[in-house]
Amino acid sequence: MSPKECVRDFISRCDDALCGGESDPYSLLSNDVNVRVQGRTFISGDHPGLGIVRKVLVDVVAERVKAARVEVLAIISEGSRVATKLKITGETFDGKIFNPEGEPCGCIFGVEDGAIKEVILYLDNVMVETVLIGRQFVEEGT
Amino acid sequence: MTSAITPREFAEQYLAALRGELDHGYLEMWDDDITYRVPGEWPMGGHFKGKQAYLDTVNAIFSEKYEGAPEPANPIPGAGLYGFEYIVEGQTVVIQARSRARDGRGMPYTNTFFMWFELNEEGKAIDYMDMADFSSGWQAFFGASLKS
Repeated sequence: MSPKECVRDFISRCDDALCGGESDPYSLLSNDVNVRVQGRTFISGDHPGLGIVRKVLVDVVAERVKAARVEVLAIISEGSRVATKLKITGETFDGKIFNPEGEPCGCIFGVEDGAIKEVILYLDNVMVETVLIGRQFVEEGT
Repeated sequence: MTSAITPREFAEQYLAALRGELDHGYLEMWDDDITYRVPGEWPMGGHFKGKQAYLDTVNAIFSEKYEGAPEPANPIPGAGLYGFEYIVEGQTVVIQARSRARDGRGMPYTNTFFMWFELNEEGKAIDYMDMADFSSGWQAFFGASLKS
């Protein structure tokens, strides 16, 4: 399986699992994967190792997100590196819609020996702050 | 059909142009009919069809708010974007880059960018998406703060 095929398969499995299917996306992640979420939000930073990815990143998002979908909008690769535009949409438990316009986000993958070793995710952090955890941007001093 | 420059060369030159290191500006590397996308509902977010739409909106705000912005704003030494990864396939190049600037208070500011370019046969950008932590950008350059 090429790095690009591996990433497509991973995203497809993520989407199926999010829809309640039997797919296992974790089986395509290396045990020592690092998932970096760019920025300064509550989910930003490095998540080193499959255990941290599951128990910290995924579980903390699951505290807020009732339903989600993910799909590949565009994908390129060079050697072991894969760059994608992803469409991530969802709904929180309190009924807020994440990414109603279906805007793309950016994501880089590093693939070795058929497994994903690195993920670097560039989310719309304005939406992460306002939709996922209900914060507001206000003018300073207000 | 071949490009005037390769996508990798385009990417390196583009970042150099943003840093003001070339004898031409970065906008000369855009096709007039470019689609420029900045995801997110914040003051600089949106889809901009054509170079002029960018000049009328994003560039005007960029120049006003961002000390270190390329022309026509006021560059500061060393400000700009520095690439650390380039992924190329066909006429598409994706850059990861670190940015260096000063925020609205004149304090040092950095961010990390994901830049997706699709080039035409002349080697000019025809589709371009910038992605970064625009939550921090909104706070740094527009005097906004986050309230729980």
